[in-house]
Amino acid sequence: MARRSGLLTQRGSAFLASGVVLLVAGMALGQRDLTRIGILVLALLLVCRTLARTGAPVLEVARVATPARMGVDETARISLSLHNVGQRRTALAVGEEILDPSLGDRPRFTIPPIGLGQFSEVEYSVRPHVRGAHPLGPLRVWTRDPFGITSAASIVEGTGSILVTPRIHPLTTGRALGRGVGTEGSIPHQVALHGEDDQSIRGYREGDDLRRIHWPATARMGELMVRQEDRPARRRAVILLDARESGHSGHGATSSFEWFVTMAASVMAHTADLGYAVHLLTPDLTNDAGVRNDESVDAMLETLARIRTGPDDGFRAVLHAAHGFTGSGGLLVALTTGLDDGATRALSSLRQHGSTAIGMVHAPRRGEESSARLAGRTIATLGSAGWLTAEVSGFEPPARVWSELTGASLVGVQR
Amino acid sequence: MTRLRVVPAALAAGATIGVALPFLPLFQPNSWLRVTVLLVLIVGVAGVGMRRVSRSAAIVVAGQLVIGLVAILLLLLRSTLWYALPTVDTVTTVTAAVPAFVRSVTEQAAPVAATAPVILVLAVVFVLLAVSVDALAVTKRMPGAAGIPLLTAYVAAASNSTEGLAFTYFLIPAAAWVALLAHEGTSRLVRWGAVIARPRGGQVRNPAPGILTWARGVALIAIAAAVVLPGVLPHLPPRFIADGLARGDRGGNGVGSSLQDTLAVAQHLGDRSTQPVLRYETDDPNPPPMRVDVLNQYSDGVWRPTSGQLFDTGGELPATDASEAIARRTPTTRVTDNRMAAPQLPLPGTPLTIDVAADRLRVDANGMVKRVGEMDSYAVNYELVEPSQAQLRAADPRGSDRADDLAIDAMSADYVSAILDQVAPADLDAAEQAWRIQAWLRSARFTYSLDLATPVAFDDTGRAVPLDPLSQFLATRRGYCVQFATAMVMMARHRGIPARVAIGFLPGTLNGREWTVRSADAHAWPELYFPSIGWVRFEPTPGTHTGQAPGWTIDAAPTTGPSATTSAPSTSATAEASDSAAPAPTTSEEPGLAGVIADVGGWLRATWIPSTTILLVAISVLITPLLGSIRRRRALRRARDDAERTEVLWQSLLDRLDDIEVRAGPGETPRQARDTLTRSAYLDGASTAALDTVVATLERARYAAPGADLPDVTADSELVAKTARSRRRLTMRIRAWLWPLEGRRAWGEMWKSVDRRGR
Repeated sequence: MARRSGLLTQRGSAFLASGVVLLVAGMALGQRDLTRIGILVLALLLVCRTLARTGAPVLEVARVATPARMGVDETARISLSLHNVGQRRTALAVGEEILDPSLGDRPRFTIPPIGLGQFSEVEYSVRPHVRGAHPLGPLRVWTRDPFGITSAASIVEGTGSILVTPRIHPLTTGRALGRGVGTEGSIPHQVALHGEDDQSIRGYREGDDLRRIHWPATARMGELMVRQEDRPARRRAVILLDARESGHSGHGATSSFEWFVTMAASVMAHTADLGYAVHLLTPDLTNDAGVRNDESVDAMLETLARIRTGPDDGFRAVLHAAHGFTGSGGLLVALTTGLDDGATRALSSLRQHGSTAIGMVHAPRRGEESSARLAGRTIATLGSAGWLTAEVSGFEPPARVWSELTGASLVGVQR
Repeated sequence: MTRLRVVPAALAAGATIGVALPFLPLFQPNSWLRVTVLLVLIVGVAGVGMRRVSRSAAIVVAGQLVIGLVAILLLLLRSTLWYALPTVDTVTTVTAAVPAFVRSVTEQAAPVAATAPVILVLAVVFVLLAVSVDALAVTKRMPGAAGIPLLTAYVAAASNSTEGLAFTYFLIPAAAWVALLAHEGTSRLVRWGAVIARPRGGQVRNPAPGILTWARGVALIAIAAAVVLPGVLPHLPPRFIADGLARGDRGGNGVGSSLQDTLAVAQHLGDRSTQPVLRYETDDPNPPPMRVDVLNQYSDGVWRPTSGQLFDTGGELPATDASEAIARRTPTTRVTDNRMAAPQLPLPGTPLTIDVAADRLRVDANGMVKRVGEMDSYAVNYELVEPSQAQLRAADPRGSDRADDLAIDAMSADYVSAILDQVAPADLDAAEQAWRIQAWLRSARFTYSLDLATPVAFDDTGRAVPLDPLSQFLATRRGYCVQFATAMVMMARHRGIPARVAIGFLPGTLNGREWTVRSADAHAWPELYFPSIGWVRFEPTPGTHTGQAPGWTIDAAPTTGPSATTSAPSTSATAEASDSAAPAPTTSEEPGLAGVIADVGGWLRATWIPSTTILLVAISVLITPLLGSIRRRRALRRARDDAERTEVLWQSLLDRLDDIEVRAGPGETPRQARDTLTRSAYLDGASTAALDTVVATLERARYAAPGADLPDVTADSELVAKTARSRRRLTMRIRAWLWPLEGRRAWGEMWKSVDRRGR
């Protein structure tokens, strides 16, 4: 509970000054009428000051957001419940919820007196314009008297939060991303993805590929066992997001990083819709590996909602981890800023032959020559390695960038 | 509705009308009030209408002004209009009204006759006032600021009424203004957010009625305090400070009071100062008033002295006129502290000897002894004649050649002689007539009042016709010593008895052996001349204010007032109107320490009920800390073992920390409480360790097997409380000390036990 600041309002101070002057002048000049007015003002002040609760209202606040997770520009209703845990009834107060400006105006409400141990509730809605995990609160409370003479501000600690996921733009793809030059069957790596987790074992049947025999199981069971093979093949898409602070330009909602996040979310949603098993690889400093891998749509959205730009060495771990996912082919989407030569080589090598790799490289519209040059070199290197590349500034509509990239989608041919 | 703000507009209009009411006694007849009230209401309604039309404050105010001025044109200047349009005639009427108003106000004593120009100017002033109050309080939502124009108007009325305004005049504007504040504050609170929190499971309730009830209570307390307290608080005499400053400018004698040497009969009495002007000791058991001067020229309602010329008689004092046959006393009075300014010299009776250097005494044309230079203390041996009634009857003053003392006032002559025929027929002897006049004036027909009555005579058009001041007094029978003395002097002169007005002081208040005369003891009385007796003091002013009339002035004591001591508040011989240049008796010198102590003592005596109440409240507040400490000690004494003692100490520590708003959460374990307290009390290393010890001991007391070793943690808890207190602001520490939770608990327990016993 923060300490309250001065108790008298501007009007209160003015009343105090004028009341004292009137009282003194009245007594000194022997004018009882002046004294009378002075006493009226001072008595009003004194009674209000005395009755103004000296302690701040002792409240506990809880917030419930419905929905707890939402997209940008969606509306959530926040239900705020106030519990009087103090030792007396609270005075009439007015409250203001301290919110990030991106959540819209700070909601204000009147809090009628709350009895001992009683609850009071109030609802407001927020409509965030920026993705992220936004804190709700703390609540600032002013206790005021009806004469506007005293006003005591205090802060009711305790915050809630809502998660605002990035905006998802509907993307359209010119041709199936997994399709290469030939038929689907001709790109087996891309289709028959068998991650370690996907394995199951069944008995050998005639016609099974001998290479699929699982020898340890065979030894244990005493009969030939093979790795499961007749599951529907799932195509894999790997999205890499470069969150290095230094490479991005702009601030806030219009920064290039936000554009990247939006793009990543859109691609993620789009590929998930198309039936890909999507992996989102993002730098994560809280993790030993320095990288975070999300596979469910919800988890990926949450990651994208919370992600922030980080230090320069963050992307290296992502590249390193990506090898494990791209080794068997699949769609690769890299959202990067300009990379140095080593990193560019590491990135370009992630693309397997026959698979589609899309690189979107941020080149700042204005700014340093060097970062623009770096982006140009990265694009050139990726392009020569068979990537579909685009230079993005962070202001293009994501859908257009995507359709331009994929509309002319031809594996191995630079646009 | 919210934008129109009908309720605040009504309150603003009410406040404006409320400050117009105190002007009622100043302008008579009161027909002007009807017009003013109507105009204020029109301005208020215009405000509501204009707010409907426009949101701009400037447009609203301009509209109100235009509507108000048009209303003035239609109501007061209709005869000058040409089809509702102002003409040249209108302009000349308005331009003529202002100087006419100024003339009325400066030349007439209150009440001023409310003639057409006066009404017009008042109407314009109150329209402007109403517009400014409405604009501030309603349109701009600044009711606090609206207090300033209201205050200005109220103070203007108050400063022009001599005795101050009755508190009833204060009630309406004060209540309306406070209501404006509360209304605006409440609507601001409720409008704060569009949303109002609702109790869980309940409906949203409008908090406004609850707050307004609260506000009403606060307002009642404040207004009650404002009504009661000014009567209790000590006030310096009016203009004490202002005159003190002004006197320095005149470069005159910086020390001393002076008694105004003119008396205006029509003026209200202003000065009720309690400043001492004189202290004396006397061997006279029944000292007469101290005479300062005599006035015998009366014209236009003002008494003036014959001339200010002083003669140096070489210390010789005027001889007494009384013949040897008249009984007399010759007491001595020793004045110890004379604060009157030269040349005035307060003397009782007819002075025989004064123990000061002869060259410092002067005598004026009336035989009054005056002085030059300082005369802080002096002893005077004086003669006090006590003629018998027979001697008075025998002395026939009629046919005297004292023309100055026989001049009658032409303005009131008819009125006086008509009354005189009923009161004292011309065929009686002079003494008999004087007795009858005094008895008539002292009778219950007359009311003693410092405020004069309003005019009673009106002409055909309903306008007040100001009577001359003496006729006015005789018609209304309401006044103070100046009027009574004037009436008696004039009536005596009508009957051919030389008479004059003496001014001076009543004997004052006896304190031990010392008499103290204060400014408020100033008095005026008539003196009638009887040959071979001299100037004889009469006392026509009724009863308690002046004490008993002298024995020789009473025929058979038919209508004397009750015998009263001279310590009763008495009348002032002087009066002043706001435009009077001559000040009333005042003292520019700072009162001495003894005087201050006497003043404080007198004030305490006069206000013993409020003082006692305040004292009781103060005592009950002051014993709260004591009760808390007693309660703690008793609990410690009653504790059966160390474990209980530790609990008591812990609870006491929690209570004392609560006083400085350091609180553990509800339901926290001792350890959690320790962490919370350490954090929120900003404890340092030593006190943190002390708190650890207290909590560890408490845990052992609670949870260890009985008989565990429990150290005494009194010192530790004291250290914690002390450190936590030192982290807080001084005001909070003082409050915590004066009004501790433990003390409050003790009060609560006492109340409960009384309550239980009562049942």
